[in-house]
Amino acid sequence: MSSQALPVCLVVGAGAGIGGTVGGRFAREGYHAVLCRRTDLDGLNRLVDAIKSDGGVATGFLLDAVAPGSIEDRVAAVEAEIGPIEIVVYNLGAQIGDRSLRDTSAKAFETGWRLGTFGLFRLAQAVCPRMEARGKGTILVTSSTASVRGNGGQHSHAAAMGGRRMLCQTLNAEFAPKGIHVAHIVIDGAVDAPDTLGKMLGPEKFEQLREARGKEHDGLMLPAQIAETYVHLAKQHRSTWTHEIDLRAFSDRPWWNH
Amino acid sequence: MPQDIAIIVGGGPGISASCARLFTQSGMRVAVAARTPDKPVLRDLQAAHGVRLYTCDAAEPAAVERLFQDVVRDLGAPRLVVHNIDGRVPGIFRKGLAEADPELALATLRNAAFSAFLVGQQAARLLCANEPDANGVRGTIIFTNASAALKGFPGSGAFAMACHAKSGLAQSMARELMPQGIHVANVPIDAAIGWRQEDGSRAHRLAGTSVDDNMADPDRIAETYLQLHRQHRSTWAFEVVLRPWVERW
Repeated sequence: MSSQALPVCLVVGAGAGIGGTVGGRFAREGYHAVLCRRTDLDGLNRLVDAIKSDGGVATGFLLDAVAPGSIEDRVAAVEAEIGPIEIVVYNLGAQIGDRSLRDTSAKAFETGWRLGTFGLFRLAQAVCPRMEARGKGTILVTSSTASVRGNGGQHSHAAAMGGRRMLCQTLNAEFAPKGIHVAHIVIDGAVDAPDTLGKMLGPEKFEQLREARGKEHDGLMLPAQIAETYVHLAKQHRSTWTHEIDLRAFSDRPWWNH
Repeated sequence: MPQDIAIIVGGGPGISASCARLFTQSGMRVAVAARTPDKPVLRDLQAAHGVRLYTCDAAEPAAVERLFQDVVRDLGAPRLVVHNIDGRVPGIFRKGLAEADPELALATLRNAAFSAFLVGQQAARLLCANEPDANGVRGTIIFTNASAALKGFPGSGAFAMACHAKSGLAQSMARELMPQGIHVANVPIDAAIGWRQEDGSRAHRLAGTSVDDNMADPDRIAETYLQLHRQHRSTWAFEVVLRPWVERW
């Protein structure tokens, strides 16, 4: 690590939606964006190249967050070879669509928990001691409607995200007074994101939805606009921190009315 | 680009003054309404930042209606409205349920929650008539709220009622008005606010001097208010709780 190493914004779960966009936005703030995702090296390289052509600094890694040791090793390597991790964006989704209890396999439930809750626990164990030693750090945790509301068919997702929300609170209780800001960000609506919603719906239905509610209608949440709030949270002064924020499109129904 | 006009209802040395300064520095024209606008901090805002001061008892329907008419006449139609009234009357502080004076409890409800309804109603009527901006937005209404909106503390029944009422009102307004392009936000400040004193320190009237940022800095709170006003309509926050890093919650 050179003495002029840029501070790092580590994104776990960097697709072409919130993760990659937030990483790029922090690159514009002068961070070295380290983007991690499980698959699709071409897609990852496209995100990294886009940040570089925008004048930013970025590196990409494939990372299987479920594999033992994967997150811990990546954090150690980034700290050793790239720079101090000042900002973490934990952006792994765990949505598997609506499934009845009978159709939710134990395996699917467990995987949801590993992505939704346990991965954040492991990431926090890896980065918090380092942030604590430096006296500062920000952990921005993307979350969802399911973190505050158990809707039908969401057994796996709601349990995983509810756990994620509570983990954010306990992390804050321990680490906020040590200078680490943990923010749980409730994305309470559909995001205009090709790698998540797009893949779940398929290209045709996704495009139909974008025509009907997205684009100029602004009824799908735009990752570039979501990223503005992530940056605001990271810049908040420690005398006035937000630990949870809910975001949705102006035209959407919030979770408490579902 | 035309200047946005902001109304801040409830004016003192804390959040309202910080918002008035930041909003004017950001190019807005700002009106501050208070029951007694003849306070040094408000006169300073008038002198240094061109803030217009108005006298208004925000618990009086006719007074609130007149306030908004006057601001429209003097400055133009607002795009940002901040309700920033705590509403507690001195005699209600730290009163257990058995000893709280019902008249003072009702006064607290009127000052805090009923005034929020009145301000929200006037704001909704005016903002709905605004032309949508390039982002399709007609304006922003922000309610300053308190810890008591999140949890009831002992000896704080009247204030808890008022703050929960404000939260319910804000939620209902958000559901009704956000699809019409009006951003409504509820901002509970879960902390003592330490504002800048003449000697440069930050302090709270009862909680003492802020040490190591253990009290919320109203200048920083104002930054979040401005960010809420600027959020794109594809991604609006409704409830934003603000607290210092060392606060227990």
